[in-house]
Amino acid sequence: MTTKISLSNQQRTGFLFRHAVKRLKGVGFISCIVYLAVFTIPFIIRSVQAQEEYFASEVGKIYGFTGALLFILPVVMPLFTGVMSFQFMHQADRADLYYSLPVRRPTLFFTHFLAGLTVSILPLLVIYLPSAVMVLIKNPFGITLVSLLTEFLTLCLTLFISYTLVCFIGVFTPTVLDHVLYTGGIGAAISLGIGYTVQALSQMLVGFSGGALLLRNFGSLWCNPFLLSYRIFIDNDRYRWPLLLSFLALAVVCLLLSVFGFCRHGCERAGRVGGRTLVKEICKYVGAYVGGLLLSLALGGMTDLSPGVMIVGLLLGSFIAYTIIEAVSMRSFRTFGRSMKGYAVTAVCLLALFSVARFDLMGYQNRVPSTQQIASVSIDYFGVSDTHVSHGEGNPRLTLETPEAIEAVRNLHTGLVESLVPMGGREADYYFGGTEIAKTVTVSYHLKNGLTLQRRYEKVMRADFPYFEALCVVPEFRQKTDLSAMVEPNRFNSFQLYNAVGQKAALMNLDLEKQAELLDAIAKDRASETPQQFARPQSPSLGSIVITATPSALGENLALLQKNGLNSYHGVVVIGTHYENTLALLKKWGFDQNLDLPSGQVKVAYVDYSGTMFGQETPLFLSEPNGDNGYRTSIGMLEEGAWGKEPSSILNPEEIQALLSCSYQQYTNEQGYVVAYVVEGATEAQMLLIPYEKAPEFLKKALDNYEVDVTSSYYEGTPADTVKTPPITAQTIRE
Amino acid sequence: MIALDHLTKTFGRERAVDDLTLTVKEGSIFGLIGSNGSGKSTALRMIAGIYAPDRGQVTLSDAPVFDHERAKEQIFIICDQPFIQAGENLEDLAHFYSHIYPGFSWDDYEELCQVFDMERKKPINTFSKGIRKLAMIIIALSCNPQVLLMDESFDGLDMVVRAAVKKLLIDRVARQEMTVVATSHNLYEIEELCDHVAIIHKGRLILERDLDALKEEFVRVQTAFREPLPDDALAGIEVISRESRGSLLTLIVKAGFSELKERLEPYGPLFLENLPLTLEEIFIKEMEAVGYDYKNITF
Repeated sequence: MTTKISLSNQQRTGFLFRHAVKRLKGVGFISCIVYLAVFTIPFIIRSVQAQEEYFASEVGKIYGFTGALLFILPVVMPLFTGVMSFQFMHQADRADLYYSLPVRRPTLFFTHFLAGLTVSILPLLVIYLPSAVMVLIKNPFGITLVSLLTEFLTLCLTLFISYTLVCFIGVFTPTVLDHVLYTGGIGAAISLGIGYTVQALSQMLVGFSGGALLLRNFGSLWCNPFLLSYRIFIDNDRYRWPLLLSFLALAVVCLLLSVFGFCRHGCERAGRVGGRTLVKEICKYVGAYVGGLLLSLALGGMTDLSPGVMIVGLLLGSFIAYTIIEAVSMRSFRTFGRSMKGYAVTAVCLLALFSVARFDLMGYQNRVPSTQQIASVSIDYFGVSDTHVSHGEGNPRLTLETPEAIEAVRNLHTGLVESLVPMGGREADYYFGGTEIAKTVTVSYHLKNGLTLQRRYEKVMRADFPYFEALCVVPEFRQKTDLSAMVEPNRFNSFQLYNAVGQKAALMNLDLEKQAELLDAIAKDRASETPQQFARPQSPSLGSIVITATPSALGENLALLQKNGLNSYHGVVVIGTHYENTLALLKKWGFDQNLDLPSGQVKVAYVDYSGTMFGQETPLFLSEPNGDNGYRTSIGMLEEGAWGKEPSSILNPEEIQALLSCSYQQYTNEQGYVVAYVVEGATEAQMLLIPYEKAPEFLKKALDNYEVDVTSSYYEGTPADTVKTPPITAQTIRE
Repeated sequence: MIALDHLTKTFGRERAVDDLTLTVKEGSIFGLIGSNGSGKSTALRMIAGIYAPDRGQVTLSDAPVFDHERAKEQIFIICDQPFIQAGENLEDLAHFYSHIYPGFSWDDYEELCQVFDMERKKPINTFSKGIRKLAMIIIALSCNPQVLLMDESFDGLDMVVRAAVKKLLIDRVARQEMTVVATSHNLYEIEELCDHVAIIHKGRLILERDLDALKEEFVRVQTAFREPLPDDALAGIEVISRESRGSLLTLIVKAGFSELKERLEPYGPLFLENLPLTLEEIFIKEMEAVGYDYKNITF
């Protein structure tokens, strides 16, 4: 007698799914245990122990203090589960079994795919669920259930993306070893490929802005679908959603290709090393590209980007990488001869790409759009005087629309092209001991045809390059960057007056009428200010007015101010001798005496000659005197030799007075000495700048003894490494 | 009925099966024979729906097999090296297949386990190759497929088990009209079991016949003549082999015995004896005819 059972397709599919999950249960179980031990349990213990404020400040995010490491999970788990789920495709006997079953191939694919995905997500749920409950109980941030679910879903999506890519590679590889090798190879190649491409283009094309977008913001290492989860942990990373969506689209395409490959030729290549597969070909050509770029850049770096040497590096590097990948994938060199045809095509393509970039065959470097083409322009640069700069991380936020402003930006851009392109974009050897500091400038044109043209430069600020200052005095620029012009009088919090060495001289209690009067005076002075006055005041500044506004009053401009170097909502009006209206008003209100230099009160001046002590932040750009932006320093630090050499203190009141008389607060292009003045009773010292050309004789003489050329070529625009800057101490200065 | 229609399969540059067309009748035991690498296993995998044909198709009762679950429910393949997960025992296997094949019968399974005295709880991978094969045969027969594909499935089975399995297969064919397609290098086995055979070489079909009819097509005679036999004595008859030892002459010809006797009588044979021809001999002769080196064939 025969007792037959009845089976529906759903039952069979369900059984196969459960069977596949069962095979992976070991990995899932171990992962849950490990992650519970590493993430969840410590998080819960810490959360229970922590006070509310501690919980908020230290535990912070939902994943706990070890949460930053959680990004490993969507990288590691898919590799295990993806390899194990599709292992049956890589062994002939297993493939025979599964492909002979009376199950449609898409069903077979998805039962294994979903089983692996389920097992991958399980540890995530184990980590997330208790942590989420704990956060909701303590809830110091007012986190909602919806936001928790959104975050969990986002993490699941990142895991889905990396898992799908692992499965895609698995479908198109013949063995488990190939699956693992190709997954690692492709994962590395994505980051290396992007990184080296950006580096190569940045080096070869003056003004290339991809570096700003990809390297600085995406980060080539993290611009990788396998490492996408890391981006979820970066606060305010505005690229994470575009990246997530882009990689999600890529994952869907890979999933469709995987289904196609699985259904069409799923098991034929099981265990057969040596055939051509989509993944192998991708790996071979991408590997050749990355290898070529790597060696080309390495050799080019040693020979000042010599085209000949770079081409040799390109061909040699690509050949080595291509040959290695071919040999590893075939497990022999027997196809070496045959594969050379493919290499020849690769080499020709690489040479063509190299030529386009190295010799700028597309005219990238000199392209400046005409005024008629431009609808608006955005700009981002860092470090010009008291203007609020838009530090939008390579994505300029300060948008200018008036013809005058657009023309000023075009002039700046043209000036940058004319000065930087002939010298290959590398104006100064500031990486290796030079004292010139380059500023980053990003210009982004929004063209009338809807396209955007963006360029990024690094330019040493010198007096012979007046385009920055010309832009800074354009009314629209001022209107959009100057706090005193941005806000209505009734939205200001305070007006504080500081003297030239940063001592708070007075808190100006001004009624609305007086506030309006002061702002009007400042506006008049600024309107009549020439670029030269703005950039190179003829005499030291007399002091400054620090104004603060409520953040809510700043509206859209808040983003500009938040992201500038000041990191605050303050605005600083440096009072130069040409601020006649402002000075007259201060005199009228009796505040003019507060600006007197407190020569008798300054105990000591510390001099730093290098001009590089703040790295890229020197020469000084102005921030509010009581800010924390590094242009004030603690006296304790000065006394401990925080400037990296013997104390260069100057105690002689006459010498101090001489230094004070040529110290400036407001500088854009000047290079010089940084001087910190310590006032009686102060805990911090204000740092000002003395241009080399205006340095007192005793300083110059001391420098002459040390063969420092202060007449300098800084002002002639020649490379900084011609200037020798030996150590100097206060003692030697006095001697 | 299984129909292979212009089936072609290529791996890289190697064409494993080349325009193979043949038909396997329902309720027959079909032997697929060929030299090493002739494409037998590839053909079998295409019949089972494991490999996708590059060209052509396989149909079962006019329904395409590839990626059609209803057709594949009727087919079970026992591969040369069946995959069994480490630690799995016969019960696990039965449990798995019972959820996959609607024809799976626990009664048959019980009966077969008793017949072959199989240990059900012991991991199958600890068994010998023969027992592992037997385990798969038990599972296959428990699934009650309409078509059973056996790739070198008798390898490793001892003589007693082999005989029992053959008996079982014949019984299933007789009772349930099951169709068996078997490949083996052991042609005695195929000869004993099959009623139809097909020989393939380099992926191409060389011949396909009912086994009895095939044997009737060939004749081997031993004879002797006083005078040497003239060269044109057998004109018009396809002589596959002719060996002389003194006056003794052994002939293998592609003709009937009566026709040959008729042609030889005029030359006054001292004796004429019809010797039985084995499938192996037919196979070897056919392979030699297509230029296959005899020494390369393994049995």
